[in-house]
Amino acid sequence: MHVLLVEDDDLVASGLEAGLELHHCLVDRVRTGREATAALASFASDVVILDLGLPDGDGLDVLSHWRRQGMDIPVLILTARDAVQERIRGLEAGADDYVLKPFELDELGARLHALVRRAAGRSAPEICHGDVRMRPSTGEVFRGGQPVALSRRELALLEKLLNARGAVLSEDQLKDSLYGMDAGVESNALNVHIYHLRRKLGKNLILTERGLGYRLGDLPAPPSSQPGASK
Amino acid sequence: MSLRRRLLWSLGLSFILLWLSVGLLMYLHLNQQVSKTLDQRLASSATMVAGLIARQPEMLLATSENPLLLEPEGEGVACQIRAPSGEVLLQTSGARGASLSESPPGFSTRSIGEEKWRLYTLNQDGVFITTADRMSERAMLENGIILVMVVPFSLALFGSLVVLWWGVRGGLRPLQRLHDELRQRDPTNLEPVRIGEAPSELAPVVDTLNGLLARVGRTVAREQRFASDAAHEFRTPLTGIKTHLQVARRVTGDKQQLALTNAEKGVVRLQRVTEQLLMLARLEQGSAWQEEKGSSVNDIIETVLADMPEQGRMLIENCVDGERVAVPLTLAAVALRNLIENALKYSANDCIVKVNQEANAGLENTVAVCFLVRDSGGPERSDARWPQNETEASAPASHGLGLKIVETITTQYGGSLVAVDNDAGGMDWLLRLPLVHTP
Repeated sequence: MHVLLVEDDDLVASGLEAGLELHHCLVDRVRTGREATAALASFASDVVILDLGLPDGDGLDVLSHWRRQGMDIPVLILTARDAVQERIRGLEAGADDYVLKPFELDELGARLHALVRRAAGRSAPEICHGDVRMRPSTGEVFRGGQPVALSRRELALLEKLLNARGAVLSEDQLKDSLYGMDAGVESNALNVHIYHLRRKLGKNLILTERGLGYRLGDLPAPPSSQPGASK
Repeated sequence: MSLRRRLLWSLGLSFILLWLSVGLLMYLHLNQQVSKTLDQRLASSATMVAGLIARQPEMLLATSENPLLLEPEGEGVACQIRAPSGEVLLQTSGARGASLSESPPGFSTRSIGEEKWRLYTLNQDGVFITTADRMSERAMLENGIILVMVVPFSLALFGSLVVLWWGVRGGLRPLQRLHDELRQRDPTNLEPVRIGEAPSELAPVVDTLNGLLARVGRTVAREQRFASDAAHEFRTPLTGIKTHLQVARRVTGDKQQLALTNAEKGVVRLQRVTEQLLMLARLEQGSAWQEEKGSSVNDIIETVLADMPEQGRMLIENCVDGERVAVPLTLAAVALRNLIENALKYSANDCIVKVNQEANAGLENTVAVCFLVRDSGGPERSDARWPQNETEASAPASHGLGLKIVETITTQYGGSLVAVDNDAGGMDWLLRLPLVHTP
């Protein structure tokens, strides 16, 4: 899961970046609302954490602007403003969740995963595809009931493909999810991660659509249906 | 009791008392006049009979056979004519001859049988002519007069009370609207009171009330803004500490050390915020630093430099040497340091501090030392909006804790703080502190 963090305070931002990495998130951080708008225009992120007291204005104005522009990306407001009216304003401005500072990292991680899950149209915390099961909140992946160890980027790539439900995703879309604002990524980096995923979860997991991108391939059905499975 | 009810009661009772007094006086006077008129009627009747007898004396000669004057006698005036010997010459049938005979000349009242009579006896050349009215008939007439008088009187009184009620109610309606507006008002509602068009007597009250509400609203908003700013300044380092400690608990090695170092930075920031809040509390209490009478500009700059971590980013140009400002050293240094910290925080380049003496600083003590703290702005400041929690355009009214302290210091010691945009895209903060008065 790729997170765009909009936070002007370095201390809080560094803590969030380190903490969210532990929750299997790839985090890109910007300081201002204007930088955040530019970032969202240049790459796709799964969820935004938005501080309200930004140096270049109120985060609520930024959020309202995004919603007016038709951006439906899930947004979690993370702020010190605790008044009920502020929370109402935040949610009415288009926020999907509102968390007060200071917060519990586990709770924040769970809320972010829930936001992405709901945005993908899923209600169950676990995603199943064939005999592959993934629990994004814990970063656990099973194939045929056996746990499979994946790196953070492999997890992000797998989650992106699973959430797409068989739709074709372009290379740029996948790179955005993996690298976000990191422009210095090597051209074959995505191929390397896809190679590793195929090796660990089966070569038919990811199909290449020439000239278009990648999509999930059909996998053998699991021995017994998993509760809460969504495909 | 409400003002309206009190007014209605007092005016209504006054009306009733006045009308009753007038009515009673009228009744007594009318009663007297009626009695007088009826007495005059008796006297006139007697005089008229006397005149008839004088013109036709033969009337008295044939009376012995039939003394009755009228048959039958019912209501109205009774009459009896007696000879000097006491013999009844003529009389109306109802008149009790014997009783009427004993009446002295002039007016008298007498009970005859079961009825009371009013008598008038006229002595006309030895002939006594007595005329009489039944008092019951007079009473009936008086009652009739009372009835005729009471009905319009009562209607007028009732009408007056209705008009009074309507007038008082209408006259006090703006007051009632104000009462209703205030009674139904939520205690937290600071919107202006609206009662429509207020009369001239009430307009100053409503205006004053609305002015007061506006002031309270501004004060509440300022306090809420300050509380919000203070909460933000407290929660931000607290969030940093808590987050890094949570991370440190889950990682090891260098990552753990980094998280702990960051948490420590947060603790230092939190300590600073706490100290600022305590200083603000002491400042607002007004009791601290009373013994310190002033400080030299050189000492202020020296103290600030000793505390500042980023001295390399400061360019200080001191054109004032040996002057003393009428602000305690601790507070003057805190004020200047807060401005410099603020400038460094939001400036991409160095912070320039210029210290000058101003002859006409616009303060009560016209001579002051002006500390100009200039920042050049930065990428974050090139936008139209300024950081909300530190500056809001050029009105230093809604800043964070640091600038709030500067404001409090300048207010307490007769200084001033002004913020203006500069050509570099940043801001110039002008801190003016009055010089120590030397007699």
